[in-house]
Formats: sequence, C-alpha cells, structure tokens
Amino acid sequence: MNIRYALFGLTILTGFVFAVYQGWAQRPVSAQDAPPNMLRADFQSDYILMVAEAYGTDGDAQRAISQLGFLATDGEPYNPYGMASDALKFGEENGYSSRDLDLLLALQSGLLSFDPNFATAEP
Amino acid sequence: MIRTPERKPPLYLITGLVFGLVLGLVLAWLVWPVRVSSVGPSSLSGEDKEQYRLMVALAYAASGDMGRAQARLGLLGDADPVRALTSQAQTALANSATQREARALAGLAAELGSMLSSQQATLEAVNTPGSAEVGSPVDTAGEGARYSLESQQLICGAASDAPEVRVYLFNAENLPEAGVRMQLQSSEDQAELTTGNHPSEGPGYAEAEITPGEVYTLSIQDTEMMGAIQAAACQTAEGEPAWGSWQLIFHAIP
Repeated sequence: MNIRYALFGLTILTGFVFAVYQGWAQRPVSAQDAPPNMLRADFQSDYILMVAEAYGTDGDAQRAISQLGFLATDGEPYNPYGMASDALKFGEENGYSSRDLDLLLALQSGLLSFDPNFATAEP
Repeated sequence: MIRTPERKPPLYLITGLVFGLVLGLVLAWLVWPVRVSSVGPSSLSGEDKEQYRLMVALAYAASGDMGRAQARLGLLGDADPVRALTSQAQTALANSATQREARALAGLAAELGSMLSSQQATLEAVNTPGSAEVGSPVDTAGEGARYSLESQQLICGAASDAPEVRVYLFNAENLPEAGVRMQLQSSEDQAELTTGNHPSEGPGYAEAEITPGEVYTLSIQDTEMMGAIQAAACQTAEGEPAWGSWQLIFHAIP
C-alpha cells in the first residue's frame, strides 16, 4: 500500500514538473498586446533613433517629447532627455553609425535646451 | 484449481500524472505566467503598432533610407505592409491635425509598393526562363571609331540597385581618360555621360541608369559604339533577384 502511495505521488510530481517546464519554457503565454515599454532595449533605441531622424528634419522638440512618450508607462512621468541619453549610450556601445549618433546627440541637445522638466505619458 | 490473481491496470498512476499535468499548467499559465520583459514590435497592440509604423514613415520621410524603413516595417509582422501603411494614411488623412503624418505614411506606402513591384518583376525575370530573355550589348562600332570595346560584363550588386551602364574609358597609353562625352539613347530616354564625374571610380568612369524594357545605344563622342543594351536580371551572391549593371571597358585606338 505504501508503495502505491509513493508511486501515486511520484506520477503527480512527474506530471507537475513536465507541465511547468512546458508552460514556462516551451509554450509560455504569448506576449501579445505588450506595452511599448516592454520592447527590447535595441528596439527601444531604434524607436528613439526614428524620433531623432524626424527631429533632425523638423526640429520640433515638443513633438519629439510627445513621440518619446510612446515608450513611457501610461500615466507615469518620463524623462525624454534621459531616454535620448540612454539611446545614445546604447548606440555608442552597439556600433551605430556616426550619422545616427549625431542625430541622437542632436535630439539629446534639443531636449535639454527645450525643457528639462519631465513629461507625463498620456494614459 | 489454482486461481491466478487478476492484474488491474495501474489507473491510479495515470490519474496522478494527469493531476500533476493539470496542476502544473494552471500554475505555469494562469497563476505565475512567465513575465515577458523584452518583446519585439510584432507583440505590440494594434494601436501601438500604428504609432510605431508612423514613426517608421516619419523617419523615412527624413532620411529616405528605404532599406532601413523596410527592415523596421518587417519587425511589425504585417502580412501586407503596403496595405497597412495605406490604410493608416487614409485614416490620418481624414483628420486635419495629422496631414503631415498622412503624407509620410502615403509616401512610404507608394515608394515601398513601387519597390516591391520592381523586385517582383525582377524575380519573375530571373525565375522564369525565357520570359524576359535579354541579350548582351552588341559592339556596333564602325569605321572612324576612336575606341574599341575591350570587355563587357554584367555586374550583379545588391538587390536594391537600379540597372545601370558603367563605362570605363582608357586612352592609348592605357590611362583613364577624363572629360569624354557620351550619349546613352533609347526611343524613350536619353542621357548624357561624361567621364570623370564620379571621382571615386576613377577619372575615366561614367555611369547612367537605364530603364528595364528599353533598348539603348551608346555613342562615344557622337560615334555609335554599342547597341542592344538592355537592363538584365541576375542573382546576387545571396541568391536574391536583382538588376545587373553592364560594365563596358573601352580603349582608345592608337
């Protein structure tokens, strides 16, 4: 009888371990409709580079700040200057071209001179 | 008579396994699902994808870098990126506050659509033997020509390259010859070339883009040298279909 209980417990444990492995490692819940602040660091930096490219043409810092709010958590304050600085650092460490680094630098400078106050992401 | 004990299937083991599986999956998927901390743009919601797509279009409007725009749009995982851009442009067009955005989206949609159509045409040309066979240029230099053709070759560059005619001229001393005027002419198109306008390729170099489907003749200093020049499809080293460029090398006749 004791052996039967032990075997019963062992099969439960086996099933449990297998299911947890499947559920976490093999078939995790999909990340659909993820918020933008969960984008991988390189995608976030590329998004900021896009903002910098647009800013390089129109020079509109207010628009750039609003566009950077995309990467912020809804309703939370965010620091556009810090975002541009982070992207610049990421670009320097990951071999962005000098043209791209110049664009990010221009965005960073533009944000500093425009308004150092933090913005708030629209909920 | 001896009765052998009846062997029952170990149902309790199957029950235990199923119980463990259900418990594990509930835990892994519902109670403590994996926290996704870094996703790609394809995992964004529809609204966020629109903002990402808009930034791609605005960045393209600023830089004109189609390769980069295409790569960025690819991250969104749209089945038809041109349709997604067009549809978003139409929505933006309806709002007077987003006309700039609408123009950027529509511009990228048009350019991308045109590029994809061209790539498709090239793909068909490369993959359908005989459907668009293009011969090599023909040496038509007659008497009085100052130059003779030394070699002609179809160069296959990148898939995004436009078809071109690239001419290298050398004088009788085998030195690149700058400032020589040439004409590239078809029934619909005409281009003037002068060697030396592309210093990075050397003083004896000149190039001109050609239109697929057109048949061109090349004249050097008003003397016809080559005929039947047409854009020809080829495959890049990576196996992608592309338009090749005709490289023509001429030497002056001593």
